[in-house]
Amino acid sequence: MARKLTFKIFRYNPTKENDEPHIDTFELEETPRLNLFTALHLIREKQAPDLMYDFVCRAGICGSCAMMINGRPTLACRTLTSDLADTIELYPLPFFKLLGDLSVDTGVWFHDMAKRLESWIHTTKEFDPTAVEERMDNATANKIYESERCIECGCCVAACATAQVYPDFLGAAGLNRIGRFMFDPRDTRGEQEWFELVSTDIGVFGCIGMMACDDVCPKDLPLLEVFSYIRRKMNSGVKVAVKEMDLA
Amino acid sequence: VVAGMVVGRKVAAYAKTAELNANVSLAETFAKEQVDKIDHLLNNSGTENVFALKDEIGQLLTAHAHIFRTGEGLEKAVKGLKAILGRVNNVKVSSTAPGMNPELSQALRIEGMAKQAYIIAKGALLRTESRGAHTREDYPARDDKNWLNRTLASWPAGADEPEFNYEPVGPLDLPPGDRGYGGGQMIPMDLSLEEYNAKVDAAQKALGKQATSEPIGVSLPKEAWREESPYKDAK
Repeated sequence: MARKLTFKIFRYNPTKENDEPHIDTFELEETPRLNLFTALHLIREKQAPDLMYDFVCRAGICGSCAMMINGRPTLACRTLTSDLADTIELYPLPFFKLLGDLSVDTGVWFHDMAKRLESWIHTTKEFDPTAVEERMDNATANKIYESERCIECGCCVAACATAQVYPDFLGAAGLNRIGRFMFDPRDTRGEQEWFELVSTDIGVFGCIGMMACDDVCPKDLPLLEVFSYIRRKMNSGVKVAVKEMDLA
Repeated sequence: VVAGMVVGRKVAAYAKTAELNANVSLAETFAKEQVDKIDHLLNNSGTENVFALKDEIGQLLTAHAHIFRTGEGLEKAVKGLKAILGRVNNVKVSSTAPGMNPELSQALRIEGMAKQAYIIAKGALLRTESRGAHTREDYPARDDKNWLNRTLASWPAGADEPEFNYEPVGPLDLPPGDRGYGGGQMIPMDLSLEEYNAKVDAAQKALGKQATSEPIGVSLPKEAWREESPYKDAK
């Protein structure tokens, strides 16, 4: 017999007058291979037409549907109800601005992060659109690709203890982004520039190494490896800085 | 992805000569239309639920316009979708709280979805052949004699029915042959390749194809794909 699932969902519409944050309970009969994307759609279509949550791709690519599922940030579209207990608690991601119910605005934060890190290739070389692309060896390309797989869902930041305390903290998504450009031989930023960008307590040294980000990342990005790489780089950056200050 | 470089250059060139003095009355007309539509969806006395209607569209297409279809089934879909089209104006949005309103955004799209579904079903009904993954069980052969063309459907404002036109698929390098799989049958084209290609351009232009400032592939280095291409090691 199919299970009866109970959904306890955080509800709050900040634009609605006199609305208070509260929990609504919905019941749904489980069907085979039911995922939370479909479950939320069924709840919206049959029980709560005003239920707010975000979905675009349904396939773990767009990063829109990250939410707290039984206390863990992850993608709803890749979560099967068969992996969960009868009662499922859904909350929006913390840290980001709440738009309503389960929907948060991750876009503004990610855009701001990209601007702070100057998240583009820094080069003085003029781009020639008619030239053949520059070659890159496969190992380097793969390394960049591994970091570039980030879908900006925000799970890592939502899971991060430091980010909850320091709102300016770059988070795993930001550090991973820096790593991506450090790996890239086309980016001409040197150790000193990297050092000034990320060797602060809102950068790589703000991370206290609990690695919840690595645990929850739905795309299994090699966050641990990327952070280690950045820290090693920063150490050599320190040496450069100390030398320049003539203290060595 | 492909057009970006061409379009970007054209936009930049245009922007250099253009003045920032746009006439927005057309945009305002359409914005007003949408505002009125939202107002209607929130305040009418209709009885239709948008999610139920959308589900009915999906059920009809899944049942009758799937990979294997028949004229009989498609006629049922066309009839059913026509009936749904008559009901979309009767949709009433129940949630009226300000802010993000998923029911309203669905309701704004439902008329377009119903029309699109109708075009899919009607277009499939008119196309009396099997092509690609679209198999008409009552017309199992790919018919290059009559149907080597693209369906161009449009729905004039205020009309009850869409218009269907057909344009040739474009200049061919080779005559389409037997694919050699799936036991497919084919009715070969009765024109020679030259005869077919000769009428492509005029036929497409007659149906509104616009002149292109940069035909596809014109800026590609010649023979770039060849292994022995001199371009291969170009710097």
